[in-house]
Formats: sequence, C-alpha cells, structure tokens
Amino acid sequence: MSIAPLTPVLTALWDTQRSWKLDTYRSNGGYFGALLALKLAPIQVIAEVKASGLRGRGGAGFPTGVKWGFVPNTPETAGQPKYLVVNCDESEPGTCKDMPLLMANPHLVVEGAIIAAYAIGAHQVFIYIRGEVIHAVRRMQQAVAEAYQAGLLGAEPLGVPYPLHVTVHAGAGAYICGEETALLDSLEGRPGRPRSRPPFPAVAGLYGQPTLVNNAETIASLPAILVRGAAWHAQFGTEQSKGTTIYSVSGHVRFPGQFEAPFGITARTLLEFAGGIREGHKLKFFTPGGSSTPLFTEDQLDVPLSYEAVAEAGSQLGTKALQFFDETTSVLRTTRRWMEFYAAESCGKCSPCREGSQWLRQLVVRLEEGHGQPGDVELISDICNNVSGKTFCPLADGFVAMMTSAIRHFPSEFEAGYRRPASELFPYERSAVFPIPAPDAEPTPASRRVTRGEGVK
Amino acid sequence: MNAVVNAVELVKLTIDGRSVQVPRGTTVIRAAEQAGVFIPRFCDHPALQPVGVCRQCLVEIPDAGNGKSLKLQTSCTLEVAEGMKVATQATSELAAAAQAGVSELLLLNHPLDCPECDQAGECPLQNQAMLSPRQVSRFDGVKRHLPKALAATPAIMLDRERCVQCMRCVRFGTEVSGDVLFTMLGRGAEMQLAACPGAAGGGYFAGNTVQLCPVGALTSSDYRFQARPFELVSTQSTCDGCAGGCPIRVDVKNGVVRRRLAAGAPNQVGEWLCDRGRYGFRSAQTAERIRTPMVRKDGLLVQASWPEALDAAAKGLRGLAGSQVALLPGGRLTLENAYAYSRFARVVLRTNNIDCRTRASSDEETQFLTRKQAAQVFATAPDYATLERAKQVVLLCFEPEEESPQLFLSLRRAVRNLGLQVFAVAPYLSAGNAKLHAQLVACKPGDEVRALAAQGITLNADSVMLVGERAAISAGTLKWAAETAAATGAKLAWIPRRSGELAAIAAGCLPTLLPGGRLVGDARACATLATQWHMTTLPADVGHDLLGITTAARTGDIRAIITGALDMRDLPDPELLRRALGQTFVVSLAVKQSEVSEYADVVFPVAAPDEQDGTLIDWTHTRRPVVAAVRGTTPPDVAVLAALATALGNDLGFHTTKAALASYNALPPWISVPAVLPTITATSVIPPALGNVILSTWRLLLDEAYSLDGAAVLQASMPTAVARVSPETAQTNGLVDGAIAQIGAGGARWHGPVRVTPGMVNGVVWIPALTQTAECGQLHALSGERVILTVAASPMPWLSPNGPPRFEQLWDNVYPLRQARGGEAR
Ligand SMILES: Cc1cc2nc3c(=O)[nH]c(=O)nc-3n(C[C@H](O)[C@H](O)[C@H](O)COP(=O)(O)O)c2cc1C
Ligand code: SF4
Ligand code: SF4
Ligand code: FES
Repeated sequence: MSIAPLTPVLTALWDTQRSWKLDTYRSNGGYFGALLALKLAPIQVIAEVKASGLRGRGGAGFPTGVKWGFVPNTPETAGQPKYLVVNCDESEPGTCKDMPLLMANPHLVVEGAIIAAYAIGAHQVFIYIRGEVIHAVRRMQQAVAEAYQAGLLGAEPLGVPYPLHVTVHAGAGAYICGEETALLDSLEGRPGRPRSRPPFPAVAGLYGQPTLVNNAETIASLPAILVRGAAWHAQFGTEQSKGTTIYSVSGHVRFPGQFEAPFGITARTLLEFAGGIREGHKLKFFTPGGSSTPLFTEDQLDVPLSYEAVAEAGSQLGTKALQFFDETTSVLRTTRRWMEFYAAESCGKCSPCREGSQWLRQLVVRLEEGHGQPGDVELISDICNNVSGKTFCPLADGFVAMMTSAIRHFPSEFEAGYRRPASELFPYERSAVFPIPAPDAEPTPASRRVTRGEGVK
Repeated sequence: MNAVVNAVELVKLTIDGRSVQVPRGTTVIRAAEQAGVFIPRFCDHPALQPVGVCRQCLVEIPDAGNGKSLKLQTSCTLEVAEGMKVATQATSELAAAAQAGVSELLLLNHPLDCPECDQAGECPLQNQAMLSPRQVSRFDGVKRHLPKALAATPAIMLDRERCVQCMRCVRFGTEVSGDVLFTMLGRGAEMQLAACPGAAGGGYFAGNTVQLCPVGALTSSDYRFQARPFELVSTQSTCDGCAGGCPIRVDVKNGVVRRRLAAGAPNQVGEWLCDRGRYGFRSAQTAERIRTPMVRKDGLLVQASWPEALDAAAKGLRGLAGSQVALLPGGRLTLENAYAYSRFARVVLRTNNIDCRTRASSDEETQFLTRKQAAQVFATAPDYATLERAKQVVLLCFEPEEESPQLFLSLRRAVRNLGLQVFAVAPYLSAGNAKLHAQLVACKPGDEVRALAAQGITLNADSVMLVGERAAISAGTLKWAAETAAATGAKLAWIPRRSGELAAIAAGCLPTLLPGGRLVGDARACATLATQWHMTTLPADVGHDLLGITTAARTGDIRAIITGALDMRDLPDPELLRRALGQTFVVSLAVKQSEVSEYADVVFPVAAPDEQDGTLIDWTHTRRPVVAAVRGTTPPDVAVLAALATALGNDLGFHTTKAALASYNALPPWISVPAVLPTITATSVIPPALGNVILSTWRLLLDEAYSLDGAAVLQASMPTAVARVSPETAQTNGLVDGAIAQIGAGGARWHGPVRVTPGMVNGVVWIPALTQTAECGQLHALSGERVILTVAASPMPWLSPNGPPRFEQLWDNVYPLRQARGGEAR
C-alpha cells in the first residue's frame, strides 16, 4: 500500500521558529478564521461546522456541529450566561496531541475558542489544562495575554463588539477531570467526579448554565474550516470520519511522535511513518485509541483508522493514541501498569468502578508477580463482566475493554502468572528502549508496597 | 395554581408484568414500590435527589416506551415513560446477575464486623448480602483499613471501613438541613467519608444522618452497643420537644428508652427529627427523678406514702378557694393533663387563677390567645402544607430553627423547591434564617411592626405570618398581626416554643378561658360547661395571669399554689416567683427535682413524657397521639389531680388519661359570638431601665433546659455563647471581635466573647438566653429592655471562642483536631 501523505493543518506551523508567538501566527494568516466567523451570524458558523463533518477529538467522536446545536439559542435564553470550556486535560495513557499543540501553537486554540464561543453565544471561555503540564499552562497563559494585548480578546475582539473573555485554569491532575462533567465540578472548585446526566452540560453545565465542552484539538480544527470552508475539510478522511487529525504514536517504534493525517489512514502506514518497530523486533499488540480501547494485534494493522472501521473491528478510535508493543513485552506487565493507573484514577463515586478497579489491580499484580491462583483469569473476566456497563461513567468501561481484550488475545500469558513471574518470561530489560541501570538492591515487590489507606497484607 | 398542582399527568408502565400508573417524572424505583416490587438500593432515598452512585438498583428495560430496549439502567435515576417495560431482579436474569455483582463489589472492602456493629439486624447491606447466591467472597486480597470509630461529632461515630460511599449523609447536609457536615475525600478505593472541619456539632439535624446511613458507618454515640434490634420494643409516638408534633419511634429495651427515631413517611412531616427530639429523652433517667411522693417536715422534704402526701396536700389546700389559690401547670403537658388542671381549678378550687405560660407574657398576648381560641380561628390556620403554597412567609419574633425545627425544614424545602420568599424580622440574620435565604428586616426588639412597614412589605392571601411566643413582649405585634390577617387574608400562625401550650390553651389553662374556647364570664358558655361538669355555677371572674399570681402571692392574697413542671429560669423575674412560692403552700407535681422542689410543701411524682399516653396539639392545631413507650411506676398528672380532688372530698370526673380525653371530647362545640370577644390592646411589659444598648435574646434549641438533662451528646454539641453586636455598636462601645463583653441588667451580669455581626441593627446586643450560664451568667432582662454593655474588666480566656475544647476527639491525624461544641450560637 502506498503511503498516504501527511496533511499538516493543525501541525502546519510546528517547525516554524517561535511558532507559539502571536506574530508568527498572524503572519501565517492567524485569526483570519475568527474574523470571518465574527462577521457571520452564529447560526451560519454552526451550519458551516455541521457541514464540515467535524467530530469531537476528545475520544467519543461526537459530531461537533450537532453538539453545538444542543446549546439553547432561543430568544428566551438570550440574557442567560453561557460558557465554552476547552478540555485540555489530556491524560489518556499514550495520548500526546493536545499538549504539543498547546506548546507549539496555542493561538490556534485561542482562535478556535473565539469561533466556538461566538457560535454558541458564550462570552466567557475557560481553558482547562492538566495542571502538571505547567509549561503548557504557562504557554497558554502567555498566548491569552498576547491576544488580549492585541485586541483579539476583551470588549471588542478583532474590533467586533462581542465581549469575550478567556480564563486559563490549571487542573490538579486527575484523569477523571477530563470527563466533561467531572471537569465542570473541578472547575467549580469541587473534587472532580462525574455528574449524572440529564441534565447535559449543554443545558445545565458550569454553574448550572448552558456549557459547551470541546476538546482542544476539536477547537483547534475550527479556524481552518472557517478559512478554507466546510467542503475543504470534508474532502479529507472517510465517509463518516472527516478531516485530518493528530495521531500520537509511541512505544517500540523507531521514531515516536505526532503525525497529522486524514482519518482512514491505517496503523501500518503510521507505523511506517514512525520508522517501524524498533530494529530486530516485531509487533505484538497495539492500542488504536489509547489504553481504554481494546487491543489490536498485527491482524488489525490494516484497519482504516476511522471511527466506524475501528468500531467494526472491535475496538474504538478513542484519542487516536497508538502505542505499539513488540514481542519482548509482557502483556501482564502492561495491563498491570494500566490497571494501577485506573485504580488510582477511578474517582470512587460509583461502587463497581471503585471496588472493581482495585480488585482487578490486586489480581493482575499478583499474576504479574507469578503469585496468581488458578481461576484468577476466569475471576478477572467475571469481575470485568460485573463492572462493564454498570458504572456511572465510561472510565470503567475503558479498563474493562483493555483487560478483556488482553485476556482474549493472550490467555496463556495470563495463566502463566499462576506459576512464574512475568519478568522471568519477558525479562524487562529486553523491552526497555533505554538501558536500565543495574539495581543496587532488591526492589520492593509491588504487592508489598502499601498504598495509603490499605493495610499490610 | 392549585389546580395545576393537582393536574399531574399519569404515566402507565409495567414492572415485572404488573402494570402501575404513576405521575410523570417519577423514577422507576418509586414506581416499583407502588407496584409492590422492591428493588434493592443504597444511595437512593425518596427524600434526597437521585445520584445513582451505588449501582445496586440496576434493572433491565426491555422497552423504554418507544419500542427500544435499554441495557441495564439504574432504576433510581431513570424516569418512567408511557408504555415502559421494566424487568427487575425478579424477572430478569441479567438484572439479578448485575445486582449480585454489585453486591459482591460493595462487600469487597466491607469489614464484615457485623457482630460488633449496631446496624446489624437492621442493615440493608447485611440483608442484601444474605440474599446473595454466593455466601463466601471470592476476594482474598487486601481490604481497606482505616482507624475506626472516630467521633465525627460528639453524637456521631464514624467508621469509614463500613461506609459504602452512598453519599446519603453528604446529600442530607447539602439538600435538607443546610449544615454541611460530611464530605468525601480522596478518590478510587481510597475515597473516604470525612467530617468537615469546622462543622463542629453538625447542626441541629445531624442525628438524621445516623438513621439515614444504610450501613453501620455512622452510629450514634448515645445508643452504641446498647441493644440489638430484636431486643427492642418499639412504640409510635409524638415528640414533645417543641410544638412541631413530629412522629417518632421510641425504642425500649428492658424497660429503658434507648433511642428515638424519626417516624414520618418520606417527604412527609417528621421524616426527619431534630437532635433535641432524637436525644432529649434522658432527663427522666437522671438521678434527680422523683419516684415517690414527698412531704416537707421540719423544713425538710422527706419521702412519704401516697395517702400521707395526699393528706398533707389536702390539709394545706382545705378551705382555700377562689382568689386564694392558683395553678401554674406549665407548658409541657398533654391535653389530658392540662384539662385535668383546668377542671381541677374550676371544680375543686373554684378559681380562674391559672396560667400555663411560665415565661414572659402580656395582657396583649392573653387577649390575642383568648380571641383566637374563643373565635376558633385556628380552623383556618395554616399548616405545613400551607407553606408549600405560600409565596412569602414573614417571621415575627420567631426563629424557626431554634423554636420549631420541623417547621424550619419545611420552610427550607419550600424555599429551595418552590421559590418561597422568607422575611425575617429580627435584629440580625441568624444562621438558621440564612439557610432559608431569608431577607432580613433588621430591627430592634419591639420595633418589628414598624420595620416591616418601613420596608414596604405588603401581605396578601398568599402570605403567611409566623409569630413566635416572644411577640408577647413586643408591644403591638400581636395586635398588628391579628388585624393584618383579618384585613389582608394573610394566614397567621402563633407558634409557642413548648409542646404543651396549645393543648393547655385549648383545655382552658388561661385566666380568661375555659376548655373548648369558652370565655370566662360568658354566661351562656359557662352554663353549657357547668352542665357537663355537673356543677351549678363556675367561677365567673377573670383570674390572674402568671404575673398577677406572683404579685397576689406576695401580698398574701394567694395562699396556695399548685405547680406542674416549671423552669424558674424562664421567668422574666424568677426572684418574684421565688418569694411568692416561699410565702405560699406549694404542691408540686413533677417528674424531676428542680428549683421548685425547694419551695414545695408536698411533691407528687408524675409520669415522664415517654411513660404515658396522651394527646399533644401541634402548631397546626392537629392532635398528635403520645403513646407510653415504657410503663413507669409514677402516675400521670391526671391521676394525681383526681386523687387530690377525692382527698378534698370532691370529684374531678375522671381518673385516667383515657377518661379525661373522653370528657374533653364530650364537651359540645362552642364558638363565641364576636361581640363578647376581648379587644386586643397593645401593652408594653418592658420595664424602664438605664443602659446604652437594647437587649435581644432568645432561647436556643439546645441549651440548659431541664428536659435536656442527661443527654450528654447534646450537651457536648451545644452552641457556645457569644454576644452579637453590629460593627458600629462594637465601635461605639469599644468592643472588638473576640473581646469579652460584660452586659449588666439590674444586679445580674453576663460575660462572654463578642461576635461582631455585619448587617445587624445598631444599638442592640444579642445573647443566647440559657446557654453556658455557669461560665457566662444569666440576665433576667427581657428582649427590648435597656442593658449596659461594656468591655469586661478582666479578660476571661476560658470564654474565648478558641478556649479549651470540651471534647477530645479520637481523630486520626488526617484531620485536624476540632472543637467539639456545636459551633457558636447562631
Ligand atoms: C474517563 C474519561 C476521560 C476523558 N478525558 C478527556 C480528556 O482528557 N480530554 C478530552 O478532551 N476529553 C476527555 N474525555 C471526553 C470528554 O468527556 C468529552 O467527551 C470531550 O471533552 C468532548 O469534547 P469533543 O466533543 O470535542 O470530543 C474523557 C472522557 C472520559 C469518560
Ligand atoms: S466509573 Fe469510575 S470514574 Fe466513573 S463515576 Fe464511577 S467511579 Fe467514578
Ligand atoms: S457514612 Fe453511611 S450514609 Fe454516609 S456515605 Fe457512608 S454509607 Fe452512605
Ligand atoms: S440506588 Fe440506584 S444507584 Fe444507588
């Protein structure tokens, strides 16, 4: 198969000198999209975005224009405050697209935010950024300050009397705060835990007011749509997944990184862009859309990466984060790492996820250490079944999908955990990309490590 | 408007094949209850907003009403739809398996220490576990361990290991009481319940969280380890803590009351109980309880037999009648007991010198109450439901949270859900009224009516005036309220603090009133009553009220007084009554020894509230049954008065509570003609005094009341006393926040820390009336009286709000040590 070209739109300026500065951005046509939007009626902006076929890049792929249409826009709601929240909490394991975007071209997000806010009638935007990524927070703050100074934000952005204010907010670093309703709780100053729906945020979100939550990449896609038109955007991608998007490629590949390409590109092509699996090794499995999506193996390398095709193949496109693992990798070790992540990140609100995640973590840890009990694998499947589809939000479905697909693909590797530690079967230094310094002392086995609030075994 | 409320749209659905019709908007779990199908649940509670967090209530929806099926849904959050089909665990294997799975997960971290858990035997989690097909857990890993049994408040023990994170207790605070006591900390398996630092006692309703907790995570310090559910004998009764008339369940083991629980149905009055009602039953169990009669011999009260005591009482009373005797039955009696006093006064002692109000009162109040009772206007008086229809409520001389907590909760619900607007006419916006989002009409005590008029607040048929007993000493308030109600159609409720006053007024325990609203001196009314009582005449002169009685006793005109339960500290001038009692022959009917006993010549023990049957009349004029939870050895007041009547050669007409009620009920109904009703004239009872500020004071729900004696957990969560002044008043008097103020009135002094209160009216100092009297002292001045406010000469560090905590907490180091008192006086 021939290699489809990369299509840098969002990433077009990434290798420009000081690409994050307003001057650079404007000299490359920046803020023209916003100006165009502000000259249109909001309803025309929504129509343009609908026609473009843009789908949300936060993971679920919900059609963006349709979502905007849910925000009440009747004369009765005219005086009501509405909010736009840009979700830059990116924390799905393997996903690394929003942060580089914020670092390389924050103004793209600011411009997109102007367009989206204007379309739904919001005068206040919150950009919620994962707090640990302090450099991204700073860069965004500076970009917003620059924009204010240049009159792109404030009382009359770009000279149009449509007051618009942008606040950059740093989250405290919880995976669940990427979930839009938990994010709103967090933004309001409470612990981030998902809210029940209905009411949906579009109707009653931040401070009980209509709120649109969009992913940073979704927002960043808007200026190009306004400038070049819906039809231009719709020419990329597949029938149901239109446009170009940033894929994060990582793991045992030679050149990990972000690749912007149209939907429908295959993992095989992306792998080629990334220089293939590292020298002398071959692919064992990969995630198509972050750790919360069922694993794929070599057999699915040619599945087009579009929402519909990946779903048909039994997984999800999610955040388009492809993590490749070669044959040196113990699937027990990866699932254990992921399970530890989910058990720590479960917000605790609903019982199946809160309890199920920590039970699964305990089971997969002991399997990885070779202390598994016969029956553990069936037990894991059964717990997954008891958790799946029964929780408050999709976080738990994510780890269930990951666990069940891992067992389905590699049952014998799991069963080996009844007898031998994974580190014997898959010596860990072999899967390390960088050499591991020799340990001076015997490390504490993880099962002996005690998390706070947990007794010693 | 009302028509709209009634016209609810009904939706038909089937649940496990049973069809049921419910109003649109109902959740599936509620609809299932109606269909007689029980779906297990932990987080769901009919009175709280659905949250859907425990996931125990999953059901299958083969048809969502649109022909489409839904995967597993939480029935507590899903609303019904026309034609919906629901399959619960009873008919759907999928739902049953899902519920079993959730049960197993919920039990994962549960300590399973049922043998030492109070909740065992009445625990939904235990029941759910018993139903589980899998009796042995598959979990053999590490459970969550946390320090156990922490004192979240002096009354509530928290065991975080047992918590199922259902958030009921958290939601209770935010949704119902407005006192945020609990919150969830951390996430994932480490998520744990924590008492909010600074929430202190958790407010007056915190005890409800114990009853609300579906597991043994929250237990009552007062009840811990006292009984197993199967050892308890439960009785449905009515709380006598205030005039709210809350239904309660009284649980008794081995003849001793162990706990009281709220017994009202969800979303009905009494679904919650205040802590006073919940824990305030220990008074009868204290050492001061009187169990045998006593007679004064050589200046000392000594135990006596019943015949001996009856003889002694009869001897002291014989030959005295009419203006020579008086009765002070007190404000906490049942209708039956009050009726016995009333009839005893008229038939045996032939006097109208009887007053149930052992508190500051006035002629204006007597006229107001007399008119109200005689004209039977309460037939149209507001009730709890009225509040839900009202547009605005005006609080006059009334603090709902302190004086009628159930009413406070109803108001809060109406404010939150129905947009009710509350106006609080008071010197400052109390914490309770702030929780009602009330608009403050700031005024000096006594200035209420003028302040309301100055604000331009007009009342109409959609308004309700709630007037408290302190209105008696605010000249003109009751007159204005009665006239405004008549003129505008606004509803008017007079709400006494004590549970028995309305029954006592109905029974004729006022110098102007006979039972059933008959006016003293109304010949026709008296004639009907005399016939009923087998008398030819009844005393026709209006008697003395409390003040008149004490004065007449001082001058020697009154020579004998019969008293029920009195708290002398509640009187405007206790000294006056002390002297009056000291000069007269005193017969005291009492549950417990009190200051009155020191003056009594004969003491008869009577039954405590939990020990007798009877009837209370709540502020809505509804009769509420009191049922004896324990059979004590002491008789009710009715029986003692009947025996005393016999000893005096007379006949009260009944000996038992039941017969007393029958006699009362047999009275033919009576409505006085308007012509004979007394007119209400504004009267001031505020004595002139010198001072730089005006005093405002009222009693708090939890204070040093006799009826709360022995309730250790309440004492520990009582609010601390503070003196409130406005910033300006503080400045003019040289006071700063936290400084110790001295307030002088007459010879008495009060000392306590200043709390500068923004928004408060200038020139007024507020203090709680009966709180920390040992530390602060007690003033016997009325709200509205001038007092002298100064900075205390010597600092008294133990009175500072940051003084030594009273209660050491077994708090682990995650949480800061907190002061355990119930926050400061609101
Ligand atoms: C557990 C969980 C984590 C999520 N994390 C993120 C995130 O980090 N960033 C993000 O944009 N969306 C995240 N989402 C998706 C959001 O809930 C939401 O769908 C998205 O922000 C909507 O934006 P979009 O319509 O532009 O995709 C997460 C969802 C879940 C369930
Ligand atoms: S599924 Fe997990 S993250 Fe989502 S609400 Fe439940 S506990 Fe929280
Ligand atoms: S303490 Fe009880 S009521 Fe509160 S969250 Fe835990 S289980 Fe629920
Ligand atoms: S009862 Fe429905 S989720 Fe808890």
